[in-house]
Amino acid sequence: MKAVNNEAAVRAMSGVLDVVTIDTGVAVVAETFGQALDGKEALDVTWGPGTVDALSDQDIRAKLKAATPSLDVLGLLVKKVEGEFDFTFASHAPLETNSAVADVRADRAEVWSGLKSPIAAWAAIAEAVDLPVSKVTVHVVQAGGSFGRRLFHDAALEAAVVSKKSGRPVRLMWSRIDDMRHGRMRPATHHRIRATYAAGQVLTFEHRVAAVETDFRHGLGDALTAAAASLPAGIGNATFAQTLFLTTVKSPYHFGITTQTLTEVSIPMHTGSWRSVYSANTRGAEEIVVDELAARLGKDPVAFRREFLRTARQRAVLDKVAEEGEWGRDLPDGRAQGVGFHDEYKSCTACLVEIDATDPRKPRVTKAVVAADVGRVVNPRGLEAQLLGGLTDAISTTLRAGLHIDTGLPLEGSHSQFHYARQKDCPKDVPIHVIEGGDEPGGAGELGVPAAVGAVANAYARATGTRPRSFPVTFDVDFTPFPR
Amino acid sequence: MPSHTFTVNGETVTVEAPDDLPLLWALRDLLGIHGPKYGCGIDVCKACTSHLDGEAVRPCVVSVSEAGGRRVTTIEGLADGEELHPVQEAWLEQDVAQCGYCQPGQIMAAVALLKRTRNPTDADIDEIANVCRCGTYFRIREAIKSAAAKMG
Ligand code: FES
Ligand code: FES
Repeated sequence: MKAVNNEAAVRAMSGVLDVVTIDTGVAVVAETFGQALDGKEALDVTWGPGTVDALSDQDIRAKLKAATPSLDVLGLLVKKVEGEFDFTFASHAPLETNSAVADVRADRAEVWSGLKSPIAAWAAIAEAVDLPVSKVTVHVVQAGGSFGRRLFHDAALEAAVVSKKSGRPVRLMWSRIDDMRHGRMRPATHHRIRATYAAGQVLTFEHRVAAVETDFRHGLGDALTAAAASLPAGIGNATFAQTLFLTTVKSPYHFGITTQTLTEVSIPMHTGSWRSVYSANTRGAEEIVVDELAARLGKDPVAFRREFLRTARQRAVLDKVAEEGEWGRDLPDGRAQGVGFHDEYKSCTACLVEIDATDPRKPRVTKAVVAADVGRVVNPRGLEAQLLGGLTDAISTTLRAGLHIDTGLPLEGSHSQFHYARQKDCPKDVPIHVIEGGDEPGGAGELGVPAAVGAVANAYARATGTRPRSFPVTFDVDFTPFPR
Repeated sequence: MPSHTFTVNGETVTVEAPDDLPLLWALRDLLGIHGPKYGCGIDVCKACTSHLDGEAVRPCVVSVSEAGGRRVTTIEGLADGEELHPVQEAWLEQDVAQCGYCQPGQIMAAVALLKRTRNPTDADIDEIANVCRCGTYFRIREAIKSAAAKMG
């Protein structure tokens, strides 16, 4: 930021108490948020350059495509199925925007915020307000669902600095447009996938992923890992990201020699983990190739998966959705079923959806059947709720929700533009079946997304007779962007 | 500073505020009524949904002066003392809320819908445009249907 050109005028506005410049922007302190937001709107600020001012979607896509390693060289006669996929940026779009309360005095500070990395936040706040950590109290409060966004504690930090500079307690909140344009997002990815086969057997399965670098500098929940993740170059977590990718992304199928690799492309953008991190796009795209492979081998998608899944536990979960969802039932033209499977966090899940794509520009998932085995179930209704949430995320990001980057900024500025699903986009029937598994509880919070991405994409492909390659499938700029 | 008198959840209140201050901020910041949530400020997320004279409105786009002399109901005023509204009961039974942020608005929208029609169809329920970022839509649908059945 270079300068606030009309500070005196904004200070003179009704209810405005202070205008405070901080590293990340300009805060307007007022008696009510309504007045603070008016003050913010009225600000005339000369900004310095951004980090990616020259970049738009097509440039980022080209960079990702170029960075995606080539697949192995094959003999001419090798039979193969292959595909290249793009997933766009997705906003965390938490309904509760970035927010925190701070009361910073000369000798002590107290901060309240929804924090997922509170210990890292605590240390950062103490440093920012120049107090020893022993004089700083951080309260972790319940937060609006943020799906990764609140791994970052920027609101708490900003609130503390504004409180210190303004000499009064503050409740800080970001406006929706700032939250969507200057918040965090799931990185865009590009995928090259190829499977080779002979005599009904899959011989190799190769997947090369290129992703805009994900910022993991929040660490994994304590100050030590945050410090370890703050290495010098770029976002500085290449090894960390590789480890995470390789430990989380696994194929549940016996597909011969299977290789999955991640190449991160360092583009200085505000990224962050988004529910299910790499798996939503990576495993989602693989599930599409699995369907195409089944078709090539003349097999039914469920029977094909059944044949290649590794364990009886996985097959039981798949069987459950096929049976409960009446897999293979007749549907009129323009409507179809699709299935997806995923195994992670010591849990596995299958999803079967029915889609109505009679108008291919306005597809609607009309029904979804989900089954999961997460080992020991602690809270059955909570578990079902997580799977329902994962399904809704998958419907949104597969069909309509994404961010268009235009010369360095998302065009989307509110929920009328970032098309996260609403009631009218969601299935009217969602039976969820929990299969009681072993003693050990597995994870479920992020489990639901990848299988549902595969199911929705596969249903869309079957209903429309197309091969979707770019997600979300409907991604026009169908709105007038707010001014920058 | 102009003053505005209206009722909120059955109580008469007076606030001093500029005429054009959105009712949402009069409720939240001047009256300390935090049920209506901010999610967009422009009538698209519907998180602030409350009732004005019994009709669903979005207080982020209703000015405090428009509320003058009228009856505002927020989620806090929906229950009758200790007795929850049947829609709230249904919400608890279906365990709808995840983070909960959108839910006051969802409930107020559902109550308004059930006032308009006792037997909402799926198409009626689809018209509730409130965003739930946790994706609880199916349970919201189930809860509305079960509340409709209870309310007969
Ligand atoms: S805050 Fe009122 S509709 Fe979004
Ligand atoms: S329950 Fe979290 S936004 Fe609806």
